[in-house]
Amino acid sequence: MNNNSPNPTPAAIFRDVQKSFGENKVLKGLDLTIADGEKVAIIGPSGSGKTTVLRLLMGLEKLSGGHIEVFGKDYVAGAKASRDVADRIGMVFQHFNLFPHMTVLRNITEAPVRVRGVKPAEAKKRAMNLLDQVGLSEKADFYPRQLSGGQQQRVAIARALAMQPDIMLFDEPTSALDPELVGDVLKVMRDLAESSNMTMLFVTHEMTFARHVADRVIFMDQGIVVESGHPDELFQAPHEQRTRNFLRSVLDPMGWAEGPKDAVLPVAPVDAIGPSIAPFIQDAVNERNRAAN
Amino acid sequence: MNFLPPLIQGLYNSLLVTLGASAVALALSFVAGLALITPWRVLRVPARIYVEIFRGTSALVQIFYFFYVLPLIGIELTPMTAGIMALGMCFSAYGAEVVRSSIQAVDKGQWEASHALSFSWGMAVRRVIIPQALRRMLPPFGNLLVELLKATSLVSLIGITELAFTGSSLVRSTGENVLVYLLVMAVYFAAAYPLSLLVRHFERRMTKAW
Repeated sequence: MNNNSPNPTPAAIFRDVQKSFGENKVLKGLDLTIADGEKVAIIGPSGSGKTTVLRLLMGLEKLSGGHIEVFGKDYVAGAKASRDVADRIGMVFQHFNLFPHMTVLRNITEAPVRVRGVKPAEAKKRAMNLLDQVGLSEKADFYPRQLSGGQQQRVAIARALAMQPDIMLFDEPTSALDPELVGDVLKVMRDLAESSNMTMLFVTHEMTFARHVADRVIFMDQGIVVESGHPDELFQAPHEQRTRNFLRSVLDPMGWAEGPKDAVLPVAPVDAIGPSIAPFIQDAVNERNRAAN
Repeated sequence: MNFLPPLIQGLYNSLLVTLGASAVALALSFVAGLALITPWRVLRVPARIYVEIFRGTSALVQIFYFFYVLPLIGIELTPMTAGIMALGMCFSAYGAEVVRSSIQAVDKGQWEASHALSFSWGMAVRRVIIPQALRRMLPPFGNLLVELLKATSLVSLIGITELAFTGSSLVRSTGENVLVYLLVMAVYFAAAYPLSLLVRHFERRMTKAW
């Protein structure tokens, strides 16, 4: 996916990372290294701590134990990621978290202008390019509530990209969307993953996306990394029983698949999120979006 | 005898105190309210003490304190200044709670998005949080403003000839208590009702924007 030879300094290293919320231990000694430019999908049952991994990196939570190193900068228990680390990381949230009182355009230009001191005209030009990239240039002057969930999430992606981060974190970016709006967001993320050498971490329940976009898939359960590997390997020949059980419950929730209960099920083909998404479906989505506005 | 001209003159002083005290209250509401939600204890604790003291003691006694006690430590205030300061600080205690609770009612995701975009705390508050919290602050602030207008009658007790004071002296000189007090109430209402309307107008305008 990413053919550039990776920078020898990893983007992020987690060493024996622990995180508790009160009595509740969410991460129990997590070890993980993310190479520079790597696209990593983190999957696992809810409560496995995958979102917490992202939130720790972003500096939204304090570390309870262990070390996290981001581009060679270390921080330890009791600390949050420092500002200059957070400056290099962008995040896309499950519930978008757009600023409701600003237009789409200002959502994107606000941080570059106020934080980075980019000239408003320049920021606007870049924002329009980003909006074009996520297919929403005609929505620049709309307010977030006038957009569908899928459109809001694409704006949120553009907003994060406007800060030109080295690492992008996606926290279940499609989990809050109506099913028919998921595809557009996944495609934007796929295009981004294929065209940029940013480091990207996706916490997701979209197995097809993980299978075909990620360089590596990490399966987490109960606060640790259970298994990590190339998507082909992890989805087709998982080593761990827990991974098998999880994949089975996600891919065949009703238990209808035939054969032995621990057999590995296929993940849908790449077409499901590819450019060849059936044209009439795409038309229906466009139609709906037009109607919604 | 025409009671209205002196009552209008009294209303003028009531409105003057209202205006001055609301300016003091608004400014201090934001100072104390923001201090209450900062990540820094050194600001939170004093703000909390300030709010509890001014909210937990009588406004009348606070006015007396400003007018009669502060001179003992060398701070000499005119009745007008003492009244404005005391009422302003008293109402800022309520106002601070309005500011605090409105800010805390803004979705936590807004703070997180601000952080992810590298906003500083102050920038997040100013650009993201307060603009959204203002909408929630407006109705309770409107209530407080009307409350404040009526509470200005308390400054009659340090000798300001505002509306209630004027009414009482008219009653004393003419004995027309039924008519005069009715008129006083009517004048208070005539001043307070447009205030309510004004606040409601702002509320509507803010909800329309986004």
